[in-house]
Amino acid sequence: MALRRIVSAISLFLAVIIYYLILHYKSYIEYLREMNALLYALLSTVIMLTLGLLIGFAWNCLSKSKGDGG
Amino acid sequence: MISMLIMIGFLVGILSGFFGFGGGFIITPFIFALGFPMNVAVGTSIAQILGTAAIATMRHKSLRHVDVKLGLLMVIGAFAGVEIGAQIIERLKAISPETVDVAVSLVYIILLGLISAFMSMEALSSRRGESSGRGLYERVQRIRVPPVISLPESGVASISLWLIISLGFATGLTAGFVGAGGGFLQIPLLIYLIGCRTTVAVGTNLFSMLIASAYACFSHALKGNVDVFSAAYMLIGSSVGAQIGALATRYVREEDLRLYFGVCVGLISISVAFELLSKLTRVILFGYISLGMIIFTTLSLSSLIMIRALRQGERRTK
Repeated sequence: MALRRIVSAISLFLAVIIYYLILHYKSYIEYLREMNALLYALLSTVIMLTLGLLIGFAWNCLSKSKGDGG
Repeated sequence: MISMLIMIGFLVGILSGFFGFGGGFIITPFIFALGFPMNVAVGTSIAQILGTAAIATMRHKSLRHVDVKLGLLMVIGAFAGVEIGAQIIERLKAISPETVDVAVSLVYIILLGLISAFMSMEALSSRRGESSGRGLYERVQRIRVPPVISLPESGVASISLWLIISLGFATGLTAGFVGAGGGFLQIPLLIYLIGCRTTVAVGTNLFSMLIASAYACFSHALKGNVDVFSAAYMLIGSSVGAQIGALATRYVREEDLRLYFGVCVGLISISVAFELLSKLTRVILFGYISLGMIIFTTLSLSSLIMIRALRQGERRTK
């Protein structure tokens, strides 16, 4: 149970890191949007998918550690 | 703007987790009303759906609401549909931005209106114990164009593979064209044409939408239609909302779930009609009515879901 909470916290922390990175590199990402559509498309898709999976994984671990609906 | 994006993400996330749709048909008109061009509203909405679908799918999988086989088969048809839908948007964009606005809005209004009417009437009939549109799937399953497969997780003994792929294509086309995940179309199709239980339709739709929206997000981003920052802000809210919505499905009867779905879709259809009127007549009041209706729909339905879930949860713990 404690392990699940730790894993959940790490997962959420990684998601926060990703948010920080995309805001930190905002101007570069906007530059890519104008100049390199392929890279921007890949980056956007990977960002959204990774954020979703990390957050979803964290929530699942947290729910299971509480003994909820798994 | 950022706090508004997070809030709409939260409210739509509740609806997404509960109904199993990505919420794009709410988010697209909403951010369109906030001033985003329609093509960017479509693409950004799809990007947000990708993230929300990942979160909600994992939750529904743990609740055993996902038929992976059915979801994967629908995705095969959805890929083709998404690309065609995105290409249609590009052709319309080449004519003029206004053409995209009008075309997408009209499709929303007609499609959502029809789905709302059908689902609401069927759900009300079910509640009264009358025979409902759910018998339709029995007739559909008699169409045995080979190959025929079984879907034990959804409770389907045998069904034509082509039917499933065609349904996937239809929802993919919707996703690519109107910027929604297709859930508002796919869920009724899964329930009434395939014969899935409502909760399995919800979870399976999320799973197939995850894959289809990844492709759609890439396709739209390639065309410059995705604002990844706005999508990421909305995901902050929807990540919390989706959990609440997914849990709430355990505490609501299937007929009620379908009724709420029908009502939700109908109200959004009316709000899109007002937004289109606002654009065509340049009467700002219609725009405010449209935005008000979207806010009212998402607020009231998400509140209703949360309250019912809390009440039922309390009763069960007592």
